Amino acid sequence: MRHQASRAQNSPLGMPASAISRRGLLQAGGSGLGSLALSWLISRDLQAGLAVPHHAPKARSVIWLFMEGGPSHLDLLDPKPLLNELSGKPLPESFSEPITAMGEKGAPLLASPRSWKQHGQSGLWASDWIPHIATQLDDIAVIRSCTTDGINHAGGVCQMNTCLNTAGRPSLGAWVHYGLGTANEDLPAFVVMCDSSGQPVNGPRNWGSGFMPAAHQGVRIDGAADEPIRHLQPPKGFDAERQRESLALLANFNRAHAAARPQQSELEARIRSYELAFRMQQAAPEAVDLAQESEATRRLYGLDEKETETFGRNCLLARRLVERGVRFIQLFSGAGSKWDSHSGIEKNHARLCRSMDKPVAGLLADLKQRGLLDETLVVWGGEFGRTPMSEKGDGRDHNPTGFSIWMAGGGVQGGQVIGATDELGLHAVEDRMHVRDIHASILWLLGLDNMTLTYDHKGRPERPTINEGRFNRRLITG
Amino acid sequence: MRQLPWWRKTGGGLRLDTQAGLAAGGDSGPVVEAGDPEASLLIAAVRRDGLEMPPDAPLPADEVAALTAWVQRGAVWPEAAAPLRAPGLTISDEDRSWWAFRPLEPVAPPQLPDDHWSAGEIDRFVLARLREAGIEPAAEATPETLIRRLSFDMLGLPPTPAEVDAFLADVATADAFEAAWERLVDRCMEDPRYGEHQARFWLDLVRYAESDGWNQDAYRPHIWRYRDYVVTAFNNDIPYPQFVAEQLAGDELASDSPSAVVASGFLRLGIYEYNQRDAAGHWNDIINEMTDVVGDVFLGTSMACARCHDHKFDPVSRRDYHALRAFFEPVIWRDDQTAATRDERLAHAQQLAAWEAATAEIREQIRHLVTPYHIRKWQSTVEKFPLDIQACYYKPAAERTSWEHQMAYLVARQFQEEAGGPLSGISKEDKQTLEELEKQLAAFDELKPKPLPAVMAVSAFEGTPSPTQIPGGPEAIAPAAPEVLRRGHATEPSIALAAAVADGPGRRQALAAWLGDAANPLPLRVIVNRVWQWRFGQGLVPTPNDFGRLGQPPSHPALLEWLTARFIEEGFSLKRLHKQLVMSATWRQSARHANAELAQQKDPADELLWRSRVHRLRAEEIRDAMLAACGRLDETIGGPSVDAKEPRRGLYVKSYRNRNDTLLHQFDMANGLERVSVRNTTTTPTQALAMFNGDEVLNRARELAQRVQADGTTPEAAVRQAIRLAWGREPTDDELSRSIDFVVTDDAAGDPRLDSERMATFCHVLFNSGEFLYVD
Repeated sequence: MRHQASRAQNSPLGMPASAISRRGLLQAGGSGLGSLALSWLISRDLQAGLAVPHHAPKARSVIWLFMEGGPSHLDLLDPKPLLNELSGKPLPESFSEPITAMGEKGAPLLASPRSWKQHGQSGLWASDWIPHIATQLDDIAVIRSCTTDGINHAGGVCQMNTCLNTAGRPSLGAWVHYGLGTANEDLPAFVVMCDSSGQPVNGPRNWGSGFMPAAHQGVRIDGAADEPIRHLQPPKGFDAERQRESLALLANFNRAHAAARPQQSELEARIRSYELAFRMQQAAPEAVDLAQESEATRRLYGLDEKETETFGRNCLLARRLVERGVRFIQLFSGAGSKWDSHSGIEKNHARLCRSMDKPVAGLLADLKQRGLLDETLVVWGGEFGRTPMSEKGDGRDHNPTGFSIWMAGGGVQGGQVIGATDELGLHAVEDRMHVRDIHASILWLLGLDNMTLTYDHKGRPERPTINEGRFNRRLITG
Repeated sequence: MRQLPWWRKTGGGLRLDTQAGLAAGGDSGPVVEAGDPEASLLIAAVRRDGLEMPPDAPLPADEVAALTAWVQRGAVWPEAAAPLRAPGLTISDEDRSWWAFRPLEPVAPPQLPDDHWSAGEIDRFVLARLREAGIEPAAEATPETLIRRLSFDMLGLPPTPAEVDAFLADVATADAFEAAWERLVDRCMEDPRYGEHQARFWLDLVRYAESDGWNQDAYRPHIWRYRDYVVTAFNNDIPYPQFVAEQLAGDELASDSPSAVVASGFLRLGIYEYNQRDAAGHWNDIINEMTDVVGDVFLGTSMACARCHDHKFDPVSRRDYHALRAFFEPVIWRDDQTAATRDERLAHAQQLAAWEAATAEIREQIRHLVTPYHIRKWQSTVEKFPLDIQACYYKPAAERTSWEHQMAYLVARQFQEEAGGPLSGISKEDKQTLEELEKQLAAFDELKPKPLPAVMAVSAFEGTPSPTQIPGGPEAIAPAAPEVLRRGHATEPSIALAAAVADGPGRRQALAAWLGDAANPLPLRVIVNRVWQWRFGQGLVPTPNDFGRLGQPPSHPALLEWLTARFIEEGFSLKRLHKQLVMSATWRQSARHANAELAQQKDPADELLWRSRVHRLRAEEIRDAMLAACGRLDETIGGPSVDAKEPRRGLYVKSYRNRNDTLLHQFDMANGLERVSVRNTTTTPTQALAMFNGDEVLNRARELAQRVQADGTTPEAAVRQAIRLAWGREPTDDELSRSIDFVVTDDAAGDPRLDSERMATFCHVLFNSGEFLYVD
């Protein structure tokens, strides 16, 4: 019923079962604003989801490791021997020069001084910047043919999160929340963590709900803070007893208020929101309490080393949240465009890779040993890659026309490379995956069809991938 | 022997898989009598009472019961999706006669026998439909409820206890409630807070926010003047066509009105970022979005759908979209305009000339010193852009087309935004000299006139407007009204529009005149419906930005026609329209209905208006009502926006497009990206956490507790006053005793005394309560 009810508000076109307005539903449903409408309201407002996948899901949760600023595929996952051969020379004319963000024209090609090795049974390539992730490559599918429309950070980050490079659409996490609801009402279903107090480009809009209700937006949590979720703790000076008394008085007032206004189910939903908030207050501190983790686990994530401690903590928190049914978790590495390396890429990437590599590998290993990797999709990538052309001598500009991301777990066939860029890594040339295809694929793995999932907005059935995008089946077939 | 299916017996022809089929019935007539299962052939058939359906086996009893209940409740068939239009379809007479597009029809309010309920014409339309449905309207709400509702609806703030008392006293002594009510309504209309509150609805619609959006999300320090313009426009009740014209074409109106220039900031409200290499794409997005907004806001038509293809449901072609866009094609952005009268500008220029004369030498030295650095900066700025954009910049201004000018503007903005800081690469010596010169210059600051109030404005390009083309299409598309709104009679406003446009300049002014023409009913229906929605929570057309086939039709079409005609007659006055609505018996109904369950069965969504809708306060109202209750509200009107911690109204809190995690946003404040006609109303545990654990609400609660204890009153008086301030009514005896119990503790001697910490907690509970957060 919830499925139908929530769809009802978003009547997609021409589908009799779902072309029911809220009014129509209530009329058809019969009991007026009785239990049915109440459960509709609650499902819409509180857990807010259709809660029924379209097909059997491969993944239950997503952990998205967002390398914000744009990591260089040419120095991590997509080796290009020609780049080193042509180092210092201009881009050959056979490669069309794109509009670059910083506008440096005719800049010479910049070699990648990395050493590269093949790893595992699959023999996938990785550079010496990610030695730990390299050990997990047999579980990883590297997609080397990603493209985006976003040429600068604002557009790129916006698109990688919302599928469009201009502001206003719901983030992918919000769509997933809308489509699947929550598996644990005591915790937010969509959680965001950053590796610094810095704000990612575009700010909280990245995990916003766009034109969908605010209930679907991501909740930022800070595992290092006393109060990991904002407003989770009672105000200072409020002991548990005082809070209990207050809630009791509040419930008393609110019940009387609602009882005097029968058939106004929003009031019931408001009462329930306080009950849920109270439960979240009980459950969340335990969920983010790393003291319960063993020394070995902490070391696995690099919590014992200064360089890896911050991102390691977020990765470990992500695993704990996944265990507790949180649906969509986004971890920003380098929040605030730190991966951006227009100059001095050596120093920049060396430091960021160091901070992220071990925690990410630890996360994959830990998920696997706990049997969670099968149902947890881990996505790694930035908003774009970087150019083979140099910038300011020792940096690289943004490359939206060809870059790499990778996926692991959640039904993804590891140890494979999907797609390819040209010989210099400038343009994706084979099995290209636009951001829309990336989103469609993530949704598919979660059991959602990107063309079936719709939200009615201003009379138009909006889709998460804006009427395009397709699941790349190679992800599961290899 | 197997019987023939019953529909064969009746001659066939019955289809129950479509609404049309159900409505048409079988050959022997309708099979469903809405509301009367006993008289419905369909029910008889599934009960196998004379007829048998389905023929092979009876339906399970619960399905028969469900069908019976469905018929009992009116056999409502959910609205079917609108049929798709074939691409390239021409505009038909049927398209033109769509309810929203056709000319206004004269309508007389129904005359109803034994009508003791109606207070005015609106009520007669409403009552007629209620009677058809067999629903009684709810009783009138209590005066206490009504003043709270009116105050929030009109002013966005709760009434003070003194205002409540005064109104109740007036009601008690007035000959008729009506007279006291009208006095109250008139007072609200004259209250400057009226404009502040009404402005918020308009600002939502035009996606007002005070930052650029995109990455940098730069704050727009002057855009608040547009916000103040809207507040003043509502307070001064300027006629709607003027309101439209000033926003769309304030710069083109031949007036010396600073406010019209400020109003043209409407065309500056979209998102923007200076640091964009793809200038052409960026500008294209900006103009397209401008077009979309105008379609939504003024035409109630989702024009945006027709940007890339003919609209799939409405008779709007891609050509229509681009014809609308063409009005905005030669818009150029201006950052050098001021909100000053001609006299002020002259005085300023005079004083400036004096300062310039006195400082000519110093300034020349400065210019000489910085110019080489500026040239370098300019070069590096321009070089970042693609070559064709660079060419626009270097072309002499007089030779540019409007598009080339726009490109040059975007390049120049990049320089201006980045050149504000210290000169890059300046030598130490030069830096010293410059500082010395600047010091000398500062000595003349007393001569310098105060800067004129800066605004974000636009004007029309004076040279050749660039053509508007459908991407890939060969021909230039002239500005024009959408074809479906053109009828070809000589008196049609669209003809006047076409003529005005053909004259050349003043495109937007011509568009505005068309949008505000009494003979062009669509835009007027749209605004009348919006005002209805603002006052009743739901429009007569429930989809205020979509009057097309994907929207919903009006619940009371005749009433919408009548109100629109009346709106025109009364000089397009929004205040008069507002007054009419809140004077109606319909608006004054209680949220409680004596027979709500029955009424709800017949009309679950309360579309027929048989009671008032309980609704949650909007985000700003929650903030403002807390500030008002604790006596902290700073009621300064207008001016630059402030930080959220200042005790000004929510309207004046700085709004950033990229910061949507504030308490206001948690309660569904518009985000400045979407054109919001109806805000979402969400109910989430995170709201509860913020309200119950957040400092902001707790601090307000402490202030309220202090306020009510200030006079050294008894616990009873303090509690009573707190409840009045939060809920706008006297507590019941039960509430009072429960509350007193909560705030009182025994002191050392065992005597009960007011515990001020517990009083603060009590006030905190009040701010979290449903009665505070909702209005009846």
